[in-house]
Amino acid sequence: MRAAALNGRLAGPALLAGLIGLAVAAALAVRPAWIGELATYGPDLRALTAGHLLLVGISAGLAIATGLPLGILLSRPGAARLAEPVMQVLNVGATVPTLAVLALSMSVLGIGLLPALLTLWLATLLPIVRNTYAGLRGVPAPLLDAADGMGMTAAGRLRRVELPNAAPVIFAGLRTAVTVNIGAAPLASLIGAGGFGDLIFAGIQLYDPVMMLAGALATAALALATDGFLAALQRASTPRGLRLRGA
Amino acid sequence: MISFQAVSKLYGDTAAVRDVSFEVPTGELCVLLGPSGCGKTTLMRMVNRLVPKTSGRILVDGEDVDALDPVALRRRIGYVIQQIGLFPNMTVEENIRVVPDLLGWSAARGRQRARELMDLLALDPGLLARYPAELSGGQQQRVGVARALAADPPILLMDEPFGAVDPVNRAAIQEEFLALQKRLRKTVIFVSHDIDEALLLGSRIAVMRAGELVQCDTPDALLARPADAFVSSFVGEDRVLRHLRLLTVADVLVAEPAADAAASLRPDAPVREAAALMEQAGRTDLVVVSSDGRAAGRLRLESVREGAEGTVRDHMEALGPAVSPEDDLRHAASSMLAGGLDAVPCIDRNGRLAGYVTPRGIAGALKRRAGRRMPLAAE
Repeated sequence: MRAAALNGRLAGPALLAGLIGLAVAAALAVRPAWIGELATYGPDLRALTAGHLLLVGISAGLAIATGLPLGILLSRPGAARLAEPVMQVLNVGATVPTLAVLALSMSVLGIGLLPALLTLWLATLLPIVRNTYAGLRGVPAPLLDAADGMGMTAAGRLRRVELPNAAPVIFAGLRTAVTVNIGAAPLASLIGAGGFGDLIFAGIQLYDPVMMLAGALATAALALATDGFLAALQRASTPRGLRLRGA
Repeated sequence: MISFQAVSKLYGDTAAVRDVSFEVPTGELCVLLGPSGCGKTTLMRMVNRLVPKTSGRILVDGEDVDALDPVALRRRIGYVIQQIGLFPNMTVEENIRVVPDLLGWSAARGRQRARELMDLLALDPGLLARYPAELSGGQQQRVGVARALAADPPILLMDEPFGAVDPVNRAAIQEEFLALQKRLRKTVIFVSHDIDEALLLGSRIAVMRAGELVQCDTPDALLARPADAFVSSFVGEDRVLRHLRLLTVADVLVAEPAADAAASLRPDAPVREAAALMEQAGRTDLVVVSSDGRAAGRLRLESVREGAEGTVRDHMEALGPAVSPEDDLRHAASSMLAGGLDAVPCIDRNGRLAGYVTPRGIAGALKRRAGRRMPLAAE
């Protein structure tokens, strides 16, 4: 079941990449002139990359730094009563559109980087907490029983048994989170936080499809590259004994 | 020694374990036997404090477990569960070395110990670098036992450890474990719902029902004198047949015909005397014994009945089915039935006739055991 969930998540980005590629190929086939035009956005993209990476890096980094400990905390037996209500709140929170969250945080924090980071952090937090929690709760009970019965401390059990065995699920959550984060980051442009969104929204307003496409393609490429990097990291961090079982 | 003193465990108003008191002497394997839900696993898990007790005391080698740090307590008690619970993220060696590492053993000592244990459990040391997912069920179960033995704990808790192995492998691993236990003499609490497993492995068996201890006895005593109808039905309607496996030929040998008549059964005795002896003893088949006491062959009544002449040697045949004193009675009864005999001769290691196993002898031995009311300690 775990393997199936993992495959589902792997299939998501790959499918998305395929669809985007197909759409772009179709668009370029209809308007071959766009190819040359796209190339002129090189300097703009270079200038915007740092801002976009800053948005993504800080918000995703914060989400990982807070989401992992929160997921671990919620999975502890002492937090059993707290865990389900908190997960419910997070689930409901995830149904609020990122655009709405952005508007809300802007009304509190004004415009600029800070409300954008808050919004992206919130959008990214849920998959990390949910998968960390579910991954740790999904470690088979006999493993926990054996670990306790052999005299592991709670911290030792977490480090040596629970986290390694939950690693594939936790990593799947990280990948989803980071992909969601990069995809949502262009919205930050709406409240003046910069990034590839500047090209996309300027393109929409000026009715300039090539400008829009340049921003969108850069965003998609970043999402895919990051996901690929995380996938490699996931393979490297999954204990060998678990990969055997999955195969 | 593990001592249970009025131990109870309540979940709300229901008692999972109710007022259980008994002792497991050092070096003995005590099977907690009963149907599922009878509280046997709960009782076992209270020893290493995985389940907190509601009342009562459990002493391990004289120390109250409640006075000990649970983590330290568990590190000196081996623990094996039915699902094995090998850590899939660790190699076999890492799994075995979990407790030695927790106890702060040096890497060299841990490695050395892991190799010793592979040897002890007849596992290929090449498996040390493998992962649990690469092992067969039987191998995993052996590694589970090796892991529990890693720090050489004096006490083992085993919860249906061989329950998940297929029947053929289970029998083999049970025999291996029995041989291992005879060497290591650990104090073991072994949870099982399988009466055959209990009779094979247990030096005593504690039968539980609905949280209460019904009877704690040696396997022999349990089969011979079940405390009540529940124990009797749990050990099975065929408990007499099970009992045969626990008794040896030496327990039931009868010297029939009487030893002083043996002279008539020497090879050089007149066959007429031998035939008369057989008629008188009501036996159709007797062993011919030479003057040094060795079994020389057998004489069948039908071949000497009507006016046979000469000596016994002239009519003697090769020795038929025989058993040795160490054989179990099930084996003896089986040879008796298969050979169509009314008695099976028992020949000892030196080739001498030790006596006969007869149906009457078996019945007498079973009856003597059933009637005996000795305290457990005297057995």
